[in-house]
Amino acid sequence: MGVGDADAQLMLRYAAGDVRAFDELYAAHRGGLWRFIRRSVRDASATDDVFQECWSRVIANRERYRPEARFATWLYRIAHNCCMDHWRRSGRRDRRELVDDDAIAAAADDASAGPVEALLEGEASERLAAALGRLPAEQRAAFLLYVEGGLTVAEIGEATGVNPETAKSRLRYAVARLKQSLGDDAPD
Amino acid sequence: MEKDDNTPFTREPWQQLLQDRADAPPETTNARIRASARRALAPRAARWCLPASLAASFLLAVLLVQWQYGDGEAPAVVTESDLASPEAIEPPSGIDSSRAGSARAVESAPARQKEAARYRTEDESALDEFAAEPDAQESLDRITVTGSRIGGPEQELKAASEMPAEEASDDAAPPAPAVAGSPDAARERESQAEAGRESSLGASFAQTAVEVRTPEAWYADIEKLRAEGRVEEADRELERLKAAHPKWLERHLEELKRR
Repeated sequence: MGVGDADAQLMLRYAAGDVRAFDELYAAHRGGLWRFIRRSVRDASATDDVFQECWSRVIANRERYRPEARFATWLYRIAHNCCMDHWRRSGRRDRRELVDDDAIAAAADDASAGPVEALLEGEASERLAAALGRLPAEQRAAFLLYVEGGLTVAEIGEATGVNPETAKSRLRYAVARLKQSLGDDAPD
Repeated sequence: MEKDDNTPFTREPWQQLLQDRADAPPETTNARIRASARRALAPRAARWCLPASLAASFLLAVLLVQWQYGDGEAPAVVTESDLASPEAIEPPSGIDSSRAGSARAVESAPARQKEAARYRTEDESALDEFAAEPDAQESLDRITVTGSRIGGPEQELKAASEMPAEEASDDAAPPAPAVAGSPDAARERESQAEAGRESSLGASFAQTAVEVRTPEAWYADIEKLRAEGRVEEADRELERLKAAHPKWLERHLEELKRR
């Protein structure tokens, strides 16, 4: 982590003018970042815009990048901010995308995401995607940052601007909700 | 489920479930982002080059101006209209006045050449007319030898560029009078030429005149000086004649002996 991070070194090389370093960095993170954004914004046409906006910010801020944290943390923080900006612009935040953690917990207990519904959604992956879409944005972001971005709880807190305890709470609620949706297909 | 505080559960099973439905960014998006990354690096040089080249040009201009006018006061701007008046090219007090005089003489050269051409035409036509008259040959020889061309505009022009300021700034020698066609005029011209030749025999014997005289005429002048008792002057002239025509005097003396 930190200065020893290989991605961070690639970013520093790119900031110094090495374009091939950027190519490596992009190849390593484009898939995960694309999936994170796609499942965060849940809009196929917006995904491409947000994805490009995210990388544009990476490029524009290359000289300000300091390897104080892992590159992935920095990248997903930018991606998370881009998603927030998208929601702000589009003005269509989910009713259940609440910032209050008690409300998030209440939303997780919503009966509409019960096992019956999950059974109707067919394959486990489809049911997982559907369940992710129903999660509050903060829980979804925490789950996707953990699974797709490979961030730790502390890094999720850093990327989303909350303390690690809050990040951990969001993650726990998200997993509980998804497991409920997947039923027996849920991973251990 | 919880492994530790930072990794509460294993990611891989969830990643496998998500990857089934996962897609990747389109190739056009990949290409656009990579191109953007390259573009971001390229303009850095352009942003740096433009101000740097402007600054370098400005610095160069300043240095040139300082180099040209640095160790003295800046010269006054001389426009074309200023050149019409002689005051415009008056040198600053620090400049040698004799050099300034030469400059003035050179400045007026075209005008003087024009003037010289006019005099030459007048002289030649007058001489032609005069030559047609009887017993004019002798006079013509003398005029040709010491005539108006000696002090004419060509000589004056030549001398002007070599003369010091005081002389160069003086007016040129007066032009030769036009030669009328009458015998009286011819005689008058002859007497003027004679008078001119006599006046040139003294201290004011012009250097320019000496070079265009024939040795015979020169020798005659020397004889005349000697006859007038101006022996030193005659000797000086004889030396000059020897220098100008080294063999002529010997030949002349032999010829006189033979006679």
